[in-house]
Amino acid sequence: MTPFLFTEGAGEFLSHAALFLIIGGLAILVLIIALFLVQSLLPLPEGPPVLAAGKGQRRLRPSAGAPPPAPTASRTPPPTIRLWRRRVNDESPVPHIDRALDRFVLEGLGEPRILRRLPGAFHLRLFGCRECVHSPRSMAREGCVVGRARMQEACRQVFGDSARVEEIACRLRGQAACEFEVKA
Amino acid sequence: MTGPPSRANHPTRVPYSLLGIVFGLFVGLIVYVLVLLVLNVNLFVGDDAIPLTSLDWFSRSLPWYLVPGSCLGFLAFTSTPTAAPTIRMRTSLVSLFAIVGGAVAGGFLAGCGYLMLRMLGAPAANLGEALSQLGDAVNSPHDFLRAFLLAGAVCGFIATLYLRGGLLMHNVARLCTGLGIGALAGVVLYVFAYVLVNYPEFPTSSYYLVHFAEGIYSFSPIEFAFGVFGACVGAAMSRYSWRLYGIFALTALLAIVVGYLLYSLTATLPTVPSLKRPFAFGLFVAETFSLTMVLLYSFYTIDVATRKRWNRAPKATPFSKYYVPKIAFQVPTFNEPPELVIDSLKSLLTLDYPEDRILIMVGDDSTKPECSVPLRQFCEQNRIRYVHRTDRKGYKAGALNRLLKVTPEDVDLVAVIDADYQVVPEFLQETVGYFIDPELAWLQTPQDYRNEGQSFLTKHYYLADKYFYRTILPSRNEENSIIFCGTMGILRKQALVEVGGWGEDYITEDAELSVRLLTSGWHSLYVNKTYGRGLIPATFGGYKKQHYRWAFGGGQVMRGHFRDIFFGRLTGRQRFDYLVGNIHWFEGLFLLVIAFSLLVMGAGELLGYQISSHHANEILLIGLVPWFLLVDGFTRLHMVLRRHLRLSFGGTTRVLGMWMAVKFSNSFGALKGALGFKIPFVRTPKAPTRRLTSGEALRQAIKTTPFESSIAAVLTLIGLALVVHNWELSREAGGFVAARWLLSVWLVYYAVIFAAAPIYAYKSYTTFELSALPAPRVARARSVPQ
Repeated sequence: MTPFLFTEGAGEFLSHAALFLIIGGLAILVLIIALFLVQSLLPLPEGPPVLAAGKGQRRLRPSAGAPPPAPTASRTPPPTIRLWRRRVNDESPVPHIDRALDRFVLEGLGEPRILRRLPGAFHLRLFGCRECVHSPRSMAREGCVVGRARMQEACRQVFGDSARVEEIACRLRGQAACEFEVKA
Repeated sequence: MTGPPSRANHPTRVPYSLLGIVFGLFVGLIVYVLVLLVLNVNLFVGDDAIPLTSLDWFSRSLPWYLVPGSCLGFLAFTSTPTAAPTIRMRTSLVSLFAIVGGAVAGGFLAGCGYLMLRMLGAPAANLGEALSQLGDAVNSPHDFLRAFLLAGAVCGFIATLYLRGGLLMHNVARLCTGLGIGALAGVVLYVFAYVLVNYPEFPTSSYYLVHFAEGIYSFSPIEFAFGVFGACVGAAMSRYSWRLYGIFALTALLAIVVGYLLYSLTATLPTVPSLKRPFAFGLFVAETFSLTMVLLYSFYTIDVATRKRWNRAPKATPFSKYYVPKIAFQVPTFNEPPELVIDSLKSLLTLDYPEDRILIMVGDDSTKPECSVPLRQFCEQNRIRYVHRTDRKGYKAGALNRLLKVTPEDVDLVAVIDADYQVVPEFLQETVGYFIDPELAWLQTPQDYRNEGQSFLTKHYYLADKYFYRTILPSRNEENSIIFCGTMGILRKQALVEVGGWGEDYITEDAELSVRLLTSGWHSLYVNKTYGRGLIPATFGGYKKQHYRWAFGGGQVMRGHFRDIFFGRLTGRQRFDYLVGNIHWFEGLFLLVIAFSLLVMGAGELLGYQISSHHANEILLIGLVPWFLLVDGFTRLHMVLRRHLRLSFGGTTRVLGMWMAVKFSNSFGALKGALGFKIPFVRTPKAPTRRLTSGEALRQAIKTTPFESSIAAVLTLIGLALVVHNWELSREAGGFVAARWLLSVWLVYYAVIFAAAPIYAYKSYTTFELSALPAPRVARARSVPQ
């Protein structure tokens, strides 16, 4: 017996293939719908459904992930030995930049505001910069040297020695406000 | 500079392109080897198997795999937006060697395992004998060693990709897994069809497992084709992290739709006489569109129901207290009851956000003093900026543009809130922080309602609307292709200004703005949590007008942004989403064509004329279209609504009716929009009227839905007449003709679809409760700014 679908003629072959597609697809779909109907007879768990979030997000996450980690005695964390390279979504918790800025505010050096976050960096604007408030504006000045250093110190307390702070604008140089870039 | 700020920081992608070429060559080589092996169908076992050494490994066809492979690799690597735009060559070469090594190691381990198993069966006396057995196995075409080697190499390849890690490796591993699962789905589909067609008695057969094994073992070209078909589906869907049954379900649905259309083209359409062919082709086009829409809708449902990971689902974590952008709330209004708007403004005054960082603005286009005067007074008392326009140029978009013009320079974000929405105090606290990402242009939260108990209509509208916000938008959010929904959303002012503000030529200015923002490279985010509740149109007239306006706007967007959607700077999935989001409004037109065809066929049957369609001989097949629309639509809706709203089957059916009730008027709206007609912006009437008596409601329902009511009546009449006619014929002939009965069943089924509009209209007028509108919330004091 010549099995079905092994006939001569392209048109006939295609129509048989189409029937194969329909019948095979229907068989699978009927099984899936039957499974779903059985599933729909079972009671649902309590509480609203929650979408399972991935381990991490490539973009668009709040500035702080987990709650801030407990402070450690050592400023420089020991290097982590990894057998394999880090997976895409496997992100370590980022220390909260708020902790660094809290220290800065406590010292009375000004009132920082985060402008934006770029990959690996935050842009901050400093209102009421203590260094600038009582100094005359001058293009010759090098900017808020002390403020930048204190902010870097505060960031290193939280993020570790790799943290760097650069001043990208300063009122003393005639710009509208003091702005810093924190690279952590 | 246009577009998000970090775009300019992307370095050149040359290393990626080189890596793409190398990787493409590698993949091309693997595909070549696989094809070579598969084409020798009895390679692994059997008498006619070909020894590996006698295969033409370096045939002339090899470049046909390597060249397209390298081109595709180049294109894939240079066009995919990734977190790390460049890769160091050293890293990539190490990765490549690791992958090849993994494949070789996998094959080696599998081969060793096989030989050990074999030696357990026939132990070798010494090492020399074991080695000679190994040599025999390698050279013997009857041995399974090659199958083990191949399977081991493929497993090693995928395992190394996973273990190696990194974005690229992760994506490639996911692609390979998708290919494998899809191919499996294709083969399972083939085997089911093989057994069902060739052995229809298999359920009662004692050898049914043998039949299935025969299907698998047939190794026919068509089995290979089915495997490739499934592999293509699996590869295309691999990026979505679906569960196994998701890939199987989509492969099955695609197979049914493709099979149905292919069968119509190759088997049934050619049999139609040439004079009657236009009718048959019209029906075929309508079927094609309807089935395609079924498939596209199913994609979203399967995505939400079977997705394992949501990479862009926002996390409920606290934001930095040092990120406090200034935000302007813009509330456009036109002749709304002033108390309604004032309640909304009161809710904005209770927002938990530093007072000096919020600005509330009202754009009042009202022409009635009784609406505008109390509103102006309230605004003046509460330091709300009140802007009144005497002309309504550009309608809502014009009002928003006017507000944008007078927005202070230091405002960073703009939130648009409809006049009937009451916002919860934590709205800004939980959403503004996402804008710390400089590429984010807008954030959307669900539209929710507070008068769902006002009538039968509002209750089911509320549920039907949930489908969009719980299924479609979360799915689209994963690919950065949501739309701005006109209210309960926040926009970055810089992005809004850069793309030229709101489009005043479009009646759905929100959806149109979304296209422009996405084509400019900005990002969007959907936060799936309710932060504000508005009012649903309480009567069917309002509901129909609102959807008609949306459909008209969808048609306008298709007309105005056709080029952007197809050829603009959008990703493939963004194109897909915007295309589906705009063409689904036209679906009613094609259902109408099918209904008309059934009507003609039914009338012809009654009058004694043979109206031929391409389904004349396979009337059962025509049932597939409405059946799939019904079963699939119902199933996907129930899956989502049961999960999110605990709905029963009855509730799901009524929600399905809500969609059907406005499907046809929507289609005409979309068609007019696409053809360039102009209609004024009609504010959705949400203010309640009164409950009507049964007689008044019936008259009003028919008056509101004259077209749908007429079609439903005609279809019902023809269907019932056909039932009587068939009954007489069956009695005379003494037999039962299934096809005739089926035609009357479809006529009645379509009559029910069309009758949904007057039924829902009637119910909305007779179940209306004025007292069901909840009282405004008690305002809470605004928190002290930090």
